[in-house]
Amino acid sequence: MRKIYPYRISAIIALLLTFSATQAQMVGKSERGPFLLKNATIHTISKGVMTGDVLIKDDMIAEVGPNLASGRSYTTLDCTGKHIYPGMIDLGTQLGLSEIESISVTNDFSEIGDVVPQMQALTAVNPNAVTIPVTRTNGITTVLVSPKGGRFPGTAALIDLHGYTPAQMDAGFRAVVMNFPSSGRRGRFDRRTDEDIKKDGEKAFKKLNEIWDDAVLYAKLDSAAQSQKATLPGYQPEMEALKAVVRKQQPLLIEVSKSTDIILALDWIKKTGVKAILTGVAEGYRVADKIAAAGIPVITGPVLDTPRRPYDKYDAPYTNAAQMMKAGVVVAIRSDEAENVRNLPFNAGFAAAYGMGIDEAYKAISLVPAQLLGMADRYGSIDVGKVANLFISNGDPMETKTTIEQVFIRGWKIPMENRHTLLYDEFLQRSPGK
Amino acid sequence: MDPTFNIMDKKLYLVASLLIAMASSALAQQGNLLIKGGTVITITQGVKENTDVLIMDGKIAEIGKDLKATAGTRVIDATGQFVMPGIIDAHSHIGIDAVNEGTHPVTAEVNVGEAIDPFDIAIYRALAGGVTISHAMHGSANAIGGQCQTIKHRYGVLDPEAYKMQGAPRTIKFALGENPIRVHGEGQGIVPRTRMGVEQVFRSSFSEAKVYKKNWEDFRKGLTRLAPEYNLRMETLADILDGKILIHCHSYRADEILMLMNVLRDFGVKKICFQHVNEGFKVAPELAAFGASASVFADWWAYKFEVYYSTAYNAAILTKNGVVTSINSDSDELIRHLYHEAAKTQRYGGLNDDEALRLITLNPAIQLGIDHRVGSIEKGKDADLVIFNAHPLSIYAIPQLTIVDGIVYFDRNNDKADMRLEIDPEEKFDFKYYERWKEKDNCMQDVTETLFFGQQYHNSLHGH
Amino acid sequence: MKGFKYKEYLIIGLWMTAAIASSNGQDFKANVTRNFFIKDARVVQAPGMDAVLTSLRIKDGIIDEVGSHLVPFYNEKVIQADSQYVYAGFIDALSHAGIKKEEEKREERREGNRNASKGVANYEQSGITPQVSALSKISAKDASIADLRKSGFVLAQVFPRGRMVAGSSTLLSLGETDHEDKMVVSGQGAMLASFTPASGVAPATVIGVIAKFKELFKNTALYHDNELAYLKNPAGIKKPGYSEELAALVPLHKKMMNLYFMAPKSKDIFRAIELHKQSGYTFVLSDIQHLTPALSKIKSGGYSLVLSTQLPEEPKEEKKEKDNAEKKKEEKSVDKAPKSEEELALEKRKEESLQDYLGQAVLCEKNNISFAFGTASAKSGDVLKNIRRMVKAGLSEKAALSALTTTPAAMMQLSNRYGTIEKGKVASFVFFDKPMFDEKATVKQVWVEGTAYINEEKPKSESKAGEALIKPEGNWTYSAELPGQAQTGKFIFKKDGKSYSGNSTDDNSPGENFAMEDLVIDGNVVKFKIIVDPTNSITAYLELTFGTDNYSGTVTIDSMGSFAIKGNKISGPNF
Repeated sequence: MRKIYPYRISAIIALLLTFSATQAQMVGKSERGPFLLKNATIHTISKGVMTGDVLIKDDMIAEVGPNLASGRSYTTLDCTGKHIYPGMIDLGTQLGLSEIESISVTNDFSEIGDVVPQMQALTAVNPNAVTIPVTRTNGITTVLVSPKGGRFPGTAALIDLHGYTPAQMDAGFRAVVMNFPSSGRRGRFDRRTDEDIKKDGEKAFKKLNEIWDDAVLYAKLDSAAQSQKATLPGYQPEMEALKAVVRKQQPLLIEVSKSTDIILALDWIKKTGVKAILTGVAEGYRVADKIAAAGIPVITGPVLDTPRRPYDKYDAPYTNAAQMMKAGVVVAIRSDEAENVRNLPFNAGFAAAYGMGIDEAYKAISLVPAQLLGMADRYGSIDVGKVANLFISNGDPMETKTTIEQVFIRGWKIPMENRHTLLYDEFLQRSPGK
Repeated sequence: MDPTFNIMDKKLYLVASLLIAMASSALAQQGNLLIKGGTVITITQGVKENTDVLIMDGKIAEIGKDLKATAGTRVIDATGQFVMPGIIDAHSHIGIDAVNEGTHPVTAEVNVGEAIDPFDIAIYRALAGGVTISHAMHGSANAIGGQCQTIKHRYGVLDPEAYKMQGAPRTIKFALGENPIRVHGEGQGIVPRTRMGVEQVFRSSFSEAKVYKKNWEDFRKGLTRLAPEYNLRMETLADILDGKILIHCHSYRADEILMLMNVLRDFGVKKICFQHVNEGFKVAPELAAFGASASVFADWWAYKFEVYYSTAYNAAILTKNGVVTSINSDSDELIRHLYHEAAKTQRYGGLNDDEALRLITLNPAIQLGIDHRVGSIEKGKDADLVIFNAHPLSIYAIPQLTIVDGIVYFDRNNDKADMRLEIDPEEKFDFKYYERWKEKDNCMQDVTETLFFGQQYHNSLHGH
Repeated sequence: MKGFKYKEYLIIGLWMTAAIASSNGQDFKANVTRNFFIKDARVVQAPGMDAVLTSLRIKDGIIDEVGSHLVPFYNEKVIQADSQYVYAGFIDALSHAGIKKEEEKREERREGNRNASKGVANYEQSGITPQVSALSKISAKDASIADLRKSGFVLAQVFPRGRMVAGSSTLLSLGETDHEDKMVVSGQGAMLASFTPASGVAPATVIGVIAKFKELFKNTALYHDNELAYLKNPAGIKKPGYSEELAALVPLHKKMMNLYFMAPKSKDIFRAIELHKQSGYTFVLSDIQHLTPALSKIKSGGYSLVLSTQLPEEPKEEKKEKDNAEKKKEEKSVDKAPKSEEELALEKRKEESLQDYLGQAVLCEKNNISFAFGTASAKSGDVLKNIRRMVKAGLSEKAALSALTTTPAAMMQLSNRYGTIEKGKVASFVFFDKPMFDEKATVKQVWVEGTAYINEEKPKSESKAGEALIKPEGNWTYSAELPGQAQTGKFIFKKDGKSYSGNSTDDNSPGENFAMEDLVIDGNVVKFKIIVDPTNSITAYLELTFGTDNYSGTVTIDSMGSFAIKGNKISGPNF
């Protein structure tokens, strides 16, 4: 075996010693610092690359710099020859909302109803989902969990991938998700005629505007009622949930991918004045100038995807992020995954190779997502005062063969086990063997 | 870095014109090429720096330094580039018009090779990912599914027959577990509804085939005067018993893998490749002892219950236990970057470059019975090659040129946007857009259409 | 009625009831003489020949004489042809004329088959019905027969509709009769096959179909061998069981019958050719719409073909788009943008593809591949228009006429009776007012076995398409002649500003009201549809030609066919 996993081996011992306490995630306990990570190549993402130390105290990055002084209570990790990166942030996942995709009762991302913005993803996140350790040990420390399905499927929440309750994981960001009416085919089984697709799209758009008008009216009446110290006659959870969006207190995540739909969405955003972030945006490259001109940021992905049209250039999904970025669009990259959110760095790696460049691609899964959500003061880079979400690796984390050796989330030193590594450890040399 | 590194003079060699030239010819062509100065990853004989590969009549004629070609042979400068054998996908469903004849638990009589779709754009996109050969498989709706077809990605030939890799052994799809149970037990109320039932489908089918074979032998010997009814299903099963067809079996759980090996042992069938085989790692010693091979996903899991206890370290565990292992795609998307999928075994299990690249070259070739022809860069083998601008296991590597039988079928520097071969004269461009749906293993294609329209349609949409 | 389903009957009944006398075929007609003298016709006697001003003498349905100096006999009715162009009547080599679309409700069939089969399908469920003869499915009254005749066809090789093996054809003369048996020219026909899968049972896919064909070929041969073995010496062997299906396929095995294999696109053609290799039967590749990629294999295999008269539609003028753009200026900002390079390139390829489709017959002609035309997958109204488009794309007039006359006649061994205008041949002609390939030429009359059918002239309008020349607003009666009985009710048309709307009532179910959808008035023709049964999505399509106080036309109902409908004005807008 070529790779050595010092941190994992020590954690296995810890696991064996404290087996009963580790039932929940079956991966062992996290440890608290302060941690002094010595002599690493630090990829701050915000201020370039430096060689030095990182001090983690409580939840936060306390110090970054060369030759930091060690304290008595500090656990020191020698990171010579190692790299430190800020934890990756994936702004499009169903992580923790889905356990086994084909078994519907284990899927909690799609509620009944076309307009259910009041559904809270955070409520349904299973902190003990087997997928969470699998994800975070690959260096992804923070994800947006998003409901899926109808026009307004619910409210997404940002979580850090450590904690035993949703409240412990909550990173404090919320946004209502909206699926913009699509004028595309839903997949290869969609046998609707061209005419029907057009009609359905127009109908859905009309309906969306009706809902929105209602939401605006509701917000207005609500304000009026408040100023009169009165209450609204009826409680409407859907309208209630859209209030903050109408009042521009909360961004709206608009899922849209087809070029003509993107244009319509940009018009709609302009008309309604919402604080919008476009998500998906698979055909962003076709209308990149228009997105840039509108100044609307984008969360795109997956990059590892097939082209949407049979006549598209084969690498359109690979180059999409770069093309948008070059046109001046602020672009974050997402995986749009549940169990394989761990492939986020590879999505970014492909975007890097196909025009985005390595630095910008890593930014698109760290600092840019934080900026997009207005949370760059706390997330996205290795800087003093930020939440200590970071990891130690033996190389570029977007390179496939790189090993992520140790992850820290909110200052916690995370056990590097997950179902996959545990099965490996048990079965590499099975006993009894033959 | 500059990912659009130029490797040749684009004016001289236009893939487009080549495609048009080929379109007019029904037969697959064989070409001559000289690839100069690349880093040649042979798979079987190590990595050779600054080495030339000479191709004549579609075969690798020589590997060495300072090779000369006859006048008029196209020379490709591969300085700074990586030359490796064309990638082979042991499990895909591209280039065929039908995947599942899901009407019976046994459909050995059907053959996806009889419904090749030469216009499938997925073939070109696979070429763009360096894949030169794929195993177009029947789906997994049935315990004994249909026969499969090994195709060479000669995109541009319009005759479906020209896609077939002549001389490749016949193969057939088997399937265990949830899919046949769901389609037949739950869907049609016939055996199998359990993994017990799946076993009996094999045992009774093989036994029936033995009787069928005997009846025909008696007739041919003149012992009987009336010919028995001809049954293509039984004919095919008899060929499996005679070792004329390789079995590729969709499987996930350890117990069912052991079950099938027991059945095959009882009927004297020796060759089997387990497909997906997510729990293969649990029975790696048994697989190795049987001589079974394994073709796995790099990291797909948790999309159904039987892949819940999976590990991305599967390929590494299998490899280290001596099981011939490959990484497959089973997907129009994954097939575009199998080199990256193979690299995941370096993150998950620390395979070395050679071991990792074998998973997508020589090992799938062994599993398809074509390793004497393809899978490594050796003198005399088919000139199926792919040239990368960086080491193929790097995430930043981009395939530049893909060659089948010495013919360049993909050239990144001459890649047109619209590579379709068939255009609907009534098409409306704006309605050719398809939203993404999450793709999991595609083995259940067609079943939904033919059997489960209506209520169950949505439940089974997500493959497996 | 053949193939008429009780349930659908009821559904239609909801909409229209009460019987009226048929207006078709049962009117009194005195056949004073069967001898005719056609005077001053420009006759094209055979493909490639010039139109020559000449006369034709017809005796009992047979051409008695052709010549420019003939004079009528006393017992002949003289027909003044007024210099019209006369050609031998056209022959449709692959037709479903007279056979209703019996498209069962898919869900029902699927469920029924699945429940019945439990994974094992019999021949019928699999869509293998070689024992079915087209004649048993043909109805003399089906409007499609008259429609085909109006386009100049006098003879059709009619195949049953079906799946893998649909059944055998009947050669049908397209005259008007009260019973289909009177139309039969030859009962001995060819077999029709296709790659159409079954529904809910095996074979559900094209690979299942191919496997099934391979088995059928072998088992037909074995069936025949076993039968011979038994006949030769029955001692010691059990009598082979009878199979209706295999017995019906034996003539193919013995090459006494041709297999018309529907293969619209090149992929189908390649697959059919592979099957041909396995079977050894005589294949006629049929219903072909696009063959270019398979051209060399077709040529080297020496196949004869039946090309479909179906062609892709010409790209529509962007008139509608413009209207929309004006209406929705704000939303259509994308559409108004100048065409991108990508769009232009796509359009170019699409245009090339269209040209390729139009040039299919030309390819055949240039490569000496023998071909006839078949209308099975086409609208009969488009046949002549489409053949003219092929001619415009380079097909010689001679080849086009051959494919409509002499080639199909030869394919069906009818050359001694059909295909040209010669003494002794059947008096089946088509009269055009101009040379038939002239874009403006229309069929004036069609003669079938010595009986003339005059195409009634539609009032010509100078209007642009889409403009209403009539004022349908008001109430109108209707009576539709449905199988077995007729049904009546009212149509009510309204005009709101420039646009029309309307609905219909049914005399038998008062209170029910059906809205007209997609109502279009073009000249004096009114088209609309009515959803008769929303749950089963059965729709009636109506096309009515209006006079001042009355109208007539057809109603086409999903899964049933086309029927005559007519009515009178009850009240105008001022009533």
